[in-house]
Amino acid sequence: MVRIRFFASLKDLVGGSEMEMKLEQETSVRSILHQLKARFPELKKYEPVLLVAVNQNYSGFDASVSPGDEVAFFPPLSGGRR
Amino acid sequence: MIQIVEGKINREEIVKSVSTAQSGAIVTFDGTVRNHARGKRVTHLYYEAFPEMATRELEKIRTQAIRRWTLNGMAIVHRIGRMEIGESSVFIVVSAAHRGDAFEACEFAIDTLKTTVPIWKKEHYQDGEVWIEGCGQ
Repeated sequence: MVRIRFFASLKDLVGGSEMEMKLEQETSVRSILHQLKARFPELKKYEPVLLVAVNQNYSGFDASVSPGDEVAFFPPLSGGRR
Repeated sequence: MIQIVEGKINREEIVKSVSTAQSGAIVTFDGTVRNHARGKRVTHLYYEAFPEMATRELEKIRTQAIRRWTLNGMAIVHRIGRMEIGESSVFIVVSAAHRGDAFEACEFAIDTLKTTVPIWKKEHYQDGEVWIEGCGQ
């Protein structure tokens, strides 16, 4: 299993803050996202700006994910104005 | 002190946490809820965090700042949940022997926080609400 977490507008989009996904062998963030997009097509528009953290560290889409890991998807941060 | 809190920020307690007899300067940054944004009147804000990761990223900011400047202490407290106009959403305190280090480190902390710490705000207006996501917004 992999724990998937969503924050801010992504949480609204998928209708929940977390879910579990079956995983028996190592995969990539990209492959997890691919499965999520099939289930939540609206995620596609976020893809260019989406941020990912594996086990609470910023990661790329090529990062590997193993059973027991936690993968979080979230929108870009506001950045603010100085 | 590095914290994500749900209730009101206690500024005095945070300042005290980094005050030392060796400090000749204490610089604070108080991020407060503004009543307008994007040409609209804001009624209140709602902040959401990825709490465990936000705390880790805040720790990293402090570690980097302590490495780069000569500081006696740095505290960062971010509030989440609903906040009214004028209330503090984030409070940063830096203490140092001299003001130059304290000013620079404090500015570094808030600028870095805005780009690396997973915390989002939702602006509420009289006629709706919007998550603020992405640079330049």
